[in-house]
Amino acid sequence: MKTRFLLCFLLACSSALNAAQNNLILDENRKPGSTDWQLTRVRTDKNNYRSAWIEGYCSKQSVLAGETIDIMVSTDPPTKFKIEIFRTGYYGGKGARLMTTLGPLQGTAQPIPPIGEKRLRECRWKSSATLKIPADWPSGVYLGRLTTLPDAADRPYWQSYVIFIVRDTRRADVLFQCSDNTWQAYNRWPDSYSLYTDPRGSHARDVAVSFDRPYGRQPQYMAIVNDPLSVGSGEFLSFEQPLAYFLEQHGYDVTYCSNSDCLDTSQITRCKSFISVGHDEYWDVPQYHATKAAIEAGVNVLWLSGNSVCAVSAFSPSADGLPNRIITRTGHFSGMTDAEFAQEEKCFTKDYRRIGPDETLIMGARTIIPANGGGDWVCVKPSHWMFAGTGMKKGDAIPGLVGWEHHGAPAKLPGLEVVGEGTAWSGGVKPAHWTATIFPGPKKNFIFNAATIFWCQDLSMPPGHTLPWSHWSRPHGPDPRVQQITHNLLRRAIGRGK
Amino acid sequence: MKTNTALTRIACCASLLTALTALGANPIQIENRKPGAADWQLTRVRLDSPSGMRSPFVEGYCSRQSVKAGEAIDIMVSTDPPAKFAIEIFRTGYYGGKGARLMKKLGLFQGKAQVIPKPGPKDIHECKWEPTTQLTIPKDWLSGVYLGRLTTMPADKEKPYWQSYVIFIVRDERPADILFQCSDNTWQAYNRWPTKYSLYTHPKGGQGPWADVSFDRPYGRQSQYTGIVNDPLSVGSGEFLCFEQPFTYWLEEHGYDVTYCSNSDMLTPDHGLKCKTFLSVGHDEYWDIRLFRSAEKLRDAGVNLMFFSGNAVCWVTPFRASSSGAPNRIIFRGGPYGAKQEYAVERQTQHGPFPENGPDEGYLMGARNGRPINGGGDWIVTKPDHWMFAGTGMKKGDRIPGLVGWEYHNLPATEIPGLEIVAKGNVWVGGETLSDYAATIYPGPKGNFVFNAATIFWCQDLSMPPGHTLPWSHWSRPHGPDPRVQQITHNLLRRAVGASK
Repeated sequence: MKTRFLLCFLLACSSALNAAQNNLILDENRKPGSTDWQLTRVRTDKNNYRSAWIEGYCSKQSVLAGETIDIMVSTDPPTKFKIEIFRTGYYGGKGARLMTTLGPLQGTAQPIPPIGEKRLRECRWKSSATLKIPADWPSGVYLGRLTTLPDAADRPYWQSYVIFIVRDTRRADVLFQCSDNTWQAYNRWPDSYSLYTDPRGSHARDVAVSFDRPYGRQPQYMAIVNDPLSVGSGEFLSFEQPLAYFLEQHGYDVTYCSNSDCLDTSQITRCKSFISVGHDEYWDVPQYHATKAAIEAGVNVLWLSGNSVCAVSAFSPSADGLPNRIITRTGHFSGMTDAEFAQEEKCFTKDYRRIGPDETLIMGARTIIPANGGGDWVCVKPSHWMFAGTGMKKGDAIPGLVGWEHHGAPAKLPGLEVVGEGTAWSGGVKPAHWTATIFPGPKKNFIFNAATIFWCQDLSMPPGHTLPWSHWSRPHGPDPRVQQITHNLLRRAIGRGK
Repeated sequence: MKTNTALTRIACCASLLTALTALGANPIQIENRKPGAADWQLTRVRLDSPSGMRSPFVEGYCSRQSVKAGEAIDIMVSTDPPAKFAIEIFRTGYYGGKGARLMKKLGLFQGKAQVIPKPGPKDIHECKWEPTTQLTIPKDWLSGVYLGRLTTMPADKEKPYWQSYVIFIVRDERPADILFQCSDNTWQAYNRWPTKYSLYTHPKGGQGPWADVSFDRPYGRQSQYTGIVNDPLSVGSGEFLCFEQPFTYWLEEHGYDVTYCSNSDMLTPDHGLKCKTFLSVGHDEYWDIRLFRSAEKLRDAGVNLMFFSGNAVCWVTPFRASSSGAPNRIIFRGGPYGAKQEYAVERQTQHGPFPENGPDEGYLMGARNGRPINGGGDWIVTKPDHWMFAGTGMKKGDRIPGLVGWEYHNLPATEIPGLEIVAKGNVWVGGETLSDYAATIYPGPKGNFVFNAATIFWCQDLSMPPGHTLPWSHWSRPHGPDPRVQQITHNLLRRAVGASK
């Protein structure tokens, strides 16, 4: 016992010493985690979509320490409730830390807004609480757990989340960009009002969604992932949290931001590497230019994502003037060919428009048709440095890692290498050829493209996490090879030795 | 808290010592030192439709629920359309966290579409498929729950492969500390293969004696995938991976000396009498009356009984032989347990007449099945000074979120001398209708005890094996591994097997 305890202690010490002495993330993760941050009693309405009993949203996607954020909550029927704020991370495996508890507060039923122009549903709820972010709250993805407080013990309590990002402006090794545009694009709250529900076509132009509304349940819960923790938290816990948990477990110096924070290239260039994670489909054009400029400035980019930078979603302010609170699908980036658009005419409609630049120039590969499906991630270039220590040989497959959307059609860029490729089947039957790529940037930086939404499913399994099952295919959870590839990429990106 | 840390350290120390020395290592500890498999889950698992129950592309079943080393078992497989396929046999356990070990590869085989039987008397669907292969269990295969992973092998790489499981138990007769009983009667009772033919689907009524179910058919997907757990790994494996595997993973992680059996192996008490404790796990609703008598004999002989289960011993299901004469291959709902308890009488009246009326399960388990029978709630401690809570730090009223569900026990048999209610609280059916549960412990006649956790979900808080899906039912859900549930279970098991803390 002594030997083992000492060994663990020494190992912990040495990894701590190897990293920067003042690593905010390491310090933060030494603090005690919470044993109860998941949703226990989470209920959806007759459409199986929203939690009318308790639901809410925040006034901003992201906030700096010292600034304030409003939390708007509705309880129908009206009831007392409390809000517990957690920072998600690793915390010795627990996955989150309790930062503060607000309340008890008296809830009211707040109105469902009428359908506006472009099918917009914009809530204007009264603020339930204003939270000033303390100076010592590190950047991270924060969950507000809303819990009703019934008067009698024989009445059930109900829970859901709100979610916001605390960002900062420091120099960090890794910038973790939440794909919150895509969370909102797919959010059907209150029932059928996402960017996908216009009767003209699921990818029709000039459809808008507002961040001023609660996130409903993961919208494809029977086809992609049936995740109870998605109620109120967008798609962060389903498609992104396993990366955050893994990064903080290993003490990477990471800082977090929203899609909307990447309109400004200086937000990206303050970091050594930039990560797009999960499902990152919706970008405004200035995000593209900011990322391109960051690549030219030497930032490494890791697309640990699928279907990224596909649709152009222009930001606009909310009715009361808050910036970047509405996104409108105004068109598409220009990687896909006319023939591909034509193949999915029902979805894209005949008036599709390419209004963004060619996304393959910053990604190496792009969305192809069929755009979704599932397959194994097959190594084709085992001699590449990213596979060092994985033991992988050509043709080795990581089961079910590709899905539920992917990238293919690699760009003809100088030095671009295809490191993984294979078949993914849409609906289990229709094949698509996906490709994972890497290409050099101008300043010895690199751009890696994993070509799958599910990459982080094989990095870690945070408490309460639900693995997806989509297109009759599924990833298995933590895989030492995927972890090693990710370490190899990150360590080179941030200039740390093995 | 200090005590808690110290206990954890002692536990770490104990597992280190056993890992370092073969001296005195039990068969489970020796087995778990062998290398685990990195790829034993299903990757490509497809149903005939999004709301379908079966995987016609590849599916199968075994000729017996359980088999001893040296004996043979047949595996029957159908592939529609016909396809080549392979079978990989895995033993489930801990194996350094991997969860299973590859024991053998069988095949390639040329598969064909085997016949879906027409509904027989009482809607029975009894397959009479040609065996694909016969497997004689090698002498050195330890008792355990075994999965056969069926994988189609398309000739063309541009064609997708498909997978599903078959499941069987390897049993033995050795005296072990723990006898782990799989609740395979209940897996089969809920199995709707090929579409809607479970014990719950007869047009005359879902709770009557009208339907027969046969073990001679593949297990379909977890039958309440939108209401209880949407588990892709359930296709072909019954409800073992959903409701029982977290327990076996955890037992083998901690080196407990455990041996495994099917419900049908409890028709006689013989093996159980050689063991120190008997476990009912998960959802254990359907018992032949002989199982009840066996469990009584175990208790009376000094074996500890632990019901880490919910809705257990609710219905009498007499076993019958298959049409080809294999024993214990057909069950039906023969009548309620509960003697003259209100819920038993109610079921006789509303869904009967039944040929059987089982004894009051409360006198075996300590708590009963009472209406309403399902729901979800938190597991709340009422007796923190009981020895089972030592080292958990729990106080009266402390709750374990969402641990109770999707079925449970209540109406404690307080007339049993020495019975204590250690946890109780509210549950809600469909999130609305109030019910309650009670977890109990009572002393047996020989210094042994009978524990009743009163929830199907107990083992959800013991471990999270690779690929495991947590349930979400009645708008409530357990959170996965909880150190308090682990500690309570250690306390109970260590006392039961006579190990020190």
